[in-house]
Order: sequence, then C-alpha cells, then structure tokens
Amino acid sequence: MHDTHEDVRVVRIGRFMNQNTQVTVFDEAFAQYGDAIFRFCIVKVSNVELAEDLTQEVFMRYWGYLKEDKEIQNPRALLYTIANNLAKDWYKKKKSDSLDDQIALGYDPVEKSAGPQLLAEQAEVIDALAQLEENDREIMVLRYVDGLDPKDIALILNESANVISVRINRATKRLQTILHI
Amino acid sequence: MNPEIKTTEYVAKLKDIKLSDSSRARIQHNLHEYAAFHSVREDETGRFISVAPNGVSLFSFKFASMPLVILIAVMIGGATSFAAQASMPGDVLYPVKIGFNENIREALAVSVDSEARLQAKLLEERLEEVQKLQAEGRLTTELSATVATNIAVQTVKANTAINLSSEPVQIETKARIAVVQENFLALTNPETKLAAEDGNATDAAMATSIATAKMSSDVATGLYDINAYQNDMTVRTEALAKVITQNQTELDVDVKTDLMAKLDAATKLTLEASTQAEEDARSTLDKVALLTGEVESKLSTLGQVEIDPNTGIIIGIDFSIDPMIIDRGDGSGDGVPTDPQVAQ
Repeated sequence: MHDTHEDVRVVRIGRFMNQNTQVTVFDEAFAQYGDAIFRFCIVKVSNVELAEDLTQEVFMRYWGYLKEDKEIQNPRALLYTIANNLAKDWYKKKKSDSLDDQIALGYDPVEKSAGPQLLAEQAEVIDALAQLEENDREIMVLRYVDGLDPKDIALILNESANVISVRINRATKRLQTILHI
Repeated sequence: MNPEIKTTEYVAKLKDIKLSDSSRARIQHNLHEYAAFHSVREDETGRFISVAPNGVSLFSFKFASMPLVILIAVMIGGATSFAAQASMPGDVLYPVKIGFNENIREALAVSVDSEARLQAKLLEERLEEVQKLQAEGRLTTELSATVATNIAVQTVKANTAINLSSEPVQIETKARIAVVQENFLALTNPETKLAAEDGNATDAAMATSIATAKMSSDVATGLYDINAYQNDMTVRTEALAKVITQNQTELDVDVKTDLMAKLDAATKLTLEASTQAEEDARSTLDKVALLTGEVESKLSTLGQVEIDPNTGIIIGIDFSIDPMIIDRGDGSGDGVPTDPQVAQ
C-alpha cells in the first residue's frame, strides 16, 4: 500500500508543470519544427515575410495549448493543423479584400516572388507548386518536403490514410504535367 | 528516370528552405515574450494557500461571491463618502469627510505644489463651513470650539505644505490663507469678546485659535514681527523636541534620529537668524518653519497629535489612535486641551 501511495505522488510531481518547464517544451518544439512549419507556410502564401509571421502565429497558438496543459499526443500534427487553419483564414481574407483596395494599397497581384532570401531554384519550385490546387500543394509539401507518412498527413488534414494516398498520387501526376516531365 | 521520382526530387528541393538566423532569433524572442505575457495557469492545487482545516474560515465561502461582496462594500463606502462630502461640523458624517475623504484627497495630491493648493483649498472649505453654520444660525458655543480647532489645524497643515511648494504657488496660496484668516477674524470677533468675558473653556479655545490664525496671517503677509517670529520658532522647536523625547519609546529609532536631526538643524538656524539682518533672518526662519513643519507632518502621520490652541504647536501625541480615523468633528474637543488659564 505504501509503495502505491509513493508512486501516485511521483506521478503527480511528474505531471506538475510550471512556466519554466512549459517554456522549455515550447523552445524544443520551435527548434524541431520551426523550419518545417515555415516551409509549409511559404508554400501556402508564397511570401517569406508573411510566412515568417504565420509561423510565429502558429507557435503562439501552440503556446495556448501548452499553457493550459492540454494533452498533446502529436505536437507535429497539431502544429501543421494550426498552420493549415491559419493559411485557410489568410486565403479567405485575401479573397474578401477587393482588388481595388489592393491596388490602392500598392499591392501588385502579378508579383508572386517568394522573396530574395530564397534561391532561384526554390523560388521556381514554389512557383510551380503555386499552379497546383491548394489541396494538392499542401499534400505535396507534407509528403515530399517534410517527409510525412500518409498516416500522419491523414491526421493533420482529418482524412483517412487511403484518401491521402490517392490524393498524393493524383497531385504528383498533375505536377508532372505542369513541369512537362 | 522514373518521372515520379524526378517530381518528388524536384519538390524536395524545398527541404533546404529554413528560417534565416535573424528571423529565427526574432521569432524566438517574440515567442518568449508572448509566453511570458500569457503565462501558465498554475496547477489548481498550487493556487490555494493552505488554511485552517477545520471550522469556518474566511476562505470557505465561494470565491465566486467575492466580486459581489467587494462591489457592495465599494458602493456602500462610496455612497457614505459622497454623502459625507456635503456634511457640516456637528453632523454624523462630518468625521468621515475630515478623516477619510480629505485624507484620500491628500494622498492623491502628488506634487508639492498641488499639495499646497489642496491644503489651502481645504482651509477655504473650513471657512465656508463656519460661514454657512453662522448664516443658518447653527454656530453653537460647542461647535465654535470645533470649527476653531479645525481652522487652526488646517492652517498649520497648509503652512507646512506651502513652505515646501514652489515660489509662485507660495505667493498664491499664502494670499489665499491670508484671505481666509481675515474672513475668519471678522466672522468670529463677537465670539472673542464673549470668550474674554466669561472665560468659558471652549470659547477660550476659540479666542486663542483666532490669535493663531492672526499670527499665521501675519507671517504669510510678512507683517509678523521678526522677534516674535524667532521666538515662536524657538518655542516650536523646543516643544517638538520635548514631544519626541517624551514618546521616544513609541518611536522607531530611525524615525526618531531623523526627526531629532531636523530639530537640531532648526535650532542652529534659529540661532543663526538672531545674528542676521531682518530680511536674511526672515528667510532663515522660513527654513526653520520648513524643518519644523516636516517634523510636524511626520508626527501627525504616526498618531493623533495634540495641538496647543494658543500657539498651534504640537504638544503631545497619542500613538494608540490612527490618524486616518481621527474624529475631529464630534465637538468633544478630544485632541485639543483647553486650558482656561492660558487663555486668560
């Protein structure tokens, strides 16, 4: 009996979280997934600065989970899910902004440059991907850039692994057509 | 080559995309700030201070009801305070006005200049009260002692505050005090006669505080005799030193040392003034007034001070009474010893 009681106590201490322990977890997550989320964002929005802002926003929302001590089984999947939702919001907002407003603000709708920080080759790939449907694009990045299994992608996009596998194949074919391979 | 592999290799070029070092540092910094600002909600068990396990405790009622309790307390308190502001000497709420409302106003007056203006304003309010009471025929013998004491106390406070303020404000507020004193003198002249005739204790207090008022008025307008001024400062310094010596067991050692040092400096300056020409002496004595004023204000924050109505000098202090809840408006003249012999 005594031993059991001790175990419970140890588990409780192990579960105890405070600001410092959570910040450490937070730092580790950013170190491990920061670049991947940034890549995901850059493919989504085709702009380095915007992608950086989105990445920051993704991790801020992630902190919201950490600080509430919510159980996170798969941090990577959660981060991608947040990023995906934020990107969707961004598209909606972009569409709802009228073209007149954008021109008035000096926005050039033709300009699609990913920014000077990217190599020409990378910019070319992003431009090619930009010609794909949004669904195809995110699935290509998750599969071939971040190297996720269809099972993990299924988790992020809330689909079955089978559906994801089919979509990966179709997207690959469509990209080949674009690249004339 | 399998076109599918080629395509995937093509897409995989993006693997090298990374956050730049500067961007990474910036984002990391922002995230840390964000995390610090939206900090972790500590574990529920860690949020409770352990309280007595048995019986009813203050913490035992629901925390949800706390805001309501506080709100009610504030509303009642606020209403009382508001109602008290309109009260007159002799009213039930008058002590609240003097002891609470005005202490709050004093605490909120931040600069030395606004403090001086406030004290002058409070003195003007004291005068208005007397004028109103008299106009309504409510100025009884008992109340006249109270209002005289109020005026005397407020004059001391105002003069103390004014000595600390900047020159333009000094001139302005001194003029305001002088006006109040003159009005008060005019208002209470018949009372003075009365006091001299029957030697009534409370009326004596009235008479003597009028003398104090006259003196302050003269000091303010520069008409006060230099020798009397010097004498007054000597008496004031000695009286304060005596009060401190008598109550040294009650005083914090540091506070006592500080106050005594100020009084020593005041004594030296007073001596210095006796060797100076009148104008210099006057400004030296103003410094003494400043020093003794500081000591007086300090003492009046420590306990209920007993003020000699003849001279306006602090002659005693009761540490058992919190100055925040002094009842100066009940007409009992508790803090004011009335000595008929001195009066006559």
